[in-house]
Amino acid sequence: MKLNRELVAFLWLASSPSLFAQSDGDSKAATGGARPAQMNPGFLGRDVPVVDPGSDNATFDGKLVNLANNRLFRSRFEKYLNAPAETSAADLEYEKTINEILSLLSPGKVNTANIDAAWKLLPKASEYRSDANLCNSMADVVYSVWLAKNEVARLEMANRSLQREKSALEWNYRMNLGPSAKSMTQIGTNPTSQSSILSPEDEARVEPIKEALSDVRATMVNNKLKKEASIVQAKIDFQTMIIQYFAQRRFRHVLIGTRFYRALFGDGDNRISALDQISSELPVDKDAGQVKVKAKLDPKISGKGGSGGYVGAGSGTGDGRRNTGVAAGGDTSSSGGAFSAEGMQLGVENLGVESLISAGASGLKALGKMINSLGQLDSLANEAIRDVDEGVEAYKFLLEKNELKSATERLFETFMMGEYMPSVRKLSRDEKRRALEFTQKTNELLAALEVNDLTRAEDIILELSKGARDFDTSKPLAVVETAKTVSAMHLAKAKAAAASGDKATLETELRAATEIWPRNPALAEVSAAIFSQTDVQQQALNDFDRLIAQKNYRQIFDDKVRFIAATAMFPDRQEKLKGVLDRVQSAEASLMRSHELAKRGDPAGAWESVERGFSDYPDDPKLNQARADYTTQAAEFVRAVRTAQEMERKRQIGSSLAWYLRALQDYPNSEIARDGIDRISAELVK
Amino acid sequence: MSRRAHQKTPSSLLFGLVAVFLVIAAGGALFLQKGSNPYRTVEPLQPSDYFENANSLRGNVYQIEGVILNALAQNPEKGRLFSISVTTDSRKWPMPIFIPAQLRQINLQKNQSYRAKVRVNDSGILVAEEIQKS
Repeated sequence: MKLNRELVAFLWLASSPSLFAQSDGDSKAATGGARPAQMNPGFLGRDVPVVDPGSDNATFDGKLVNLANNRLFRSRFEKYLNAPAETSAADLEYEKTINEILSLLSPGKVNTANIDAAWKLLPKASEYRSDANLCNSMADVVYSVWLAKNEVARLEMANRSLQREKSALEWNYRMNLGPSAKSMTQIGTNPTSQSSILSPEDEARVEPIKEALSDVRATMVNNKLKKEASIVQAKIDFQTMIIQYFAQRRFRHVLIGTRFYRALFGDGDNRISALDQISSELPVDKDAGQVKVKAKLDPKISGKGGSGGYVGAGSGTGDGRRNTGVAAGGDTSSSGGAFSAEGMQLGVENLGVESLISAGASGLKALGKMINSLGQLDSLANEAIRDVDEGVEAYKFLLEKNELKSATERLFETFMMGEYMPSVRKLSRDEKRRALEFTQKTNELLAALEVNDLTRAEDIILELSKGARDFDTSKPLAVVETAKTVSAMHLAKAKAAAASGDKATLETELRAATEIWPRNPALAEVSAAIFSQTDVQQQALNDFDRLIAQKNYRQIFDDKVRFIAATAMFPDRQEKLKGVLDRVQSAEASLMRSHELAKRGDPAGAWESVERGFSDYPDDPKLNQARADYTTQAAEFVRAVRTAQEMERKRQIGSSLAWYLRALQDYPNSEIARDGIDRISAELVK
Repeated sequence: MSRRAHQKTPSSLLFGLVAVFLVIAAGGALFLQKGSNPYRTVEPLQPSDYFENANSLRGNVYQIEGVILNALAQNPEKGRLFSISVTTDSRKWPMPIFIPAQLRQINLQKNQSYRAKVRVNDSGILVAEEIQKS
């Protein structure tokens, strides 16, 4: 399983050469955290990992993973950038040892003595920290091969002695046969295949010899099989180790391994059978079936295409030799033109752990077909070493040119490819420092874009553009500016909604603006203004309701400007306010009129004016005060009116009318008295 | 002593003179009274009582004398409503008086004094039964 994981990781790394693909954060920022377009389910659904080398993105289980830009790789790279250069004496000694081993095993020098010398150096190389005991493991495997070879030699020796025993037994067999039988057995040499008819005496004599001869032959066959199996197992163990080193990107160990292998197994058989072995050992459940891509065509098209029904799942299917995987894959691609046709439905069938293991086994077999000899691994390792060295040189050159972005990208690629190569490990901290700073900044930029901190992102972009000549600011800046514009639009809508009292839209727009740019300074200002406005309005409404409950209309009248604004969006309160204002205005008019009448020495008229306002607004303190004042000044008139009103209320019509008449006599201009008189008179004569 | 003859005034003459005086006095009084207040036998209305609670006087008949102030309302079928100012020692009391349609032949003039025999009806209004200038 560990081998498989390493292989998958390596393949991912190999397909993700770029570090700074900013599309993930960008898309988030631009869409306000909405699902990027890449997240849409493809025709294989979201459960099958799909790698897009163009964007360094892999999708799996509905999640978008940027292979270059994820915490695992970034942290590993940063750890490397912060690590000291491996130029200590021990490091140099280790490299010298490895080179010596490689030299001893090189094709021109390889012999038994050199193999032994190289093998003896392996434990020494393992003593260094950089080796991670890999050479020890290799020494163990080489030793296992020797043991296997010793076992083979022992078996061969055993077979030789068995051969001698067999010859002796065959001689004894012939000597114990009678004369008649002897003449008949001359036809063939194999006693067991003789068709002679022995006499009972001969039969009795040769029977033990026949049994012994049969046992010897069986033992020889077994020894031969054991010898073959021992060698094959040793080869597979060795190949597995080499493949593992390759997957671990220990290319020099791969070279050592392949050279040891050739030296140990000098039969010229360099085929790699380990991948087949691993795939055959995977717990493939044949009943689990295959992962199938289901394609249902429109009847018109299917008649033309011919594939019609279900198409297989390419290399993801189980047994390639049955031609289902490869053939089906071909069908899928060949019918690719028809995918755009109307009426086609695609889907995945039978996707499960068992079917995926089956697909993995199939994949390993396919990989085994691509890399089927040690020579290929050897050349790939050599090519990787060269590529890594070239990457380091390119990094140094780009650094000189102040092209930090490219330099850092090249270093990241080189690091991912040859993390353990001397050229990579020997880079000094100073040489890596600038890449580290650039990496940290870009990581900050990604983090800022991830959380939509556009201000910070913009600052980092400008900072990066100053430090790295090749850093292209257009794309990230466009993202930032777009997000800012969208946020501003949402804020404008929020303002408009606040002004019109549309709370639902206000909340939606504010939330949208916040999601796009949470730390937008304008957002805080606008929110504060809106909420402040809302607070003031709410406070005014609360005051209004409280004053209405207290019937303190005078206070409402005095603060009418505030309440008119606050109740503008509330028709019910607006109606109440209108009633209050009308009432208080009427009271005010009464008060003003009463003041004028009082000035003219007409206290009865003044009282009557206040009294008329009082009936509309009996709780007004000003009216009450004026009413009390004028009551004392026009006591007789007031008494007459109040008595008349009281009598009228008690239905003492005659007395009431008389009192109204008396009030009118006291104050001939009294409207209250005149109204009372008219009212009662009309009632009396009707 | 000489006895003078007793000259005695005849008692019948004395009684006759007294009777004549009484008759003359009664006749004069009757004459005088008959010319000033035809409702002298009817109890005058106390305005203060009326102002205090007219309902308590319902059904009673009073005489009042006052000056017509204003016509308040009228209904040709029912009658007319006036205000009349009744003067007492303390002050003037304006009071309503209803002149029913039966008394429509009487012209009531503003600021003229009238004497009336009135009944307090169920509403506490003074309803004139008779009225004449005073």
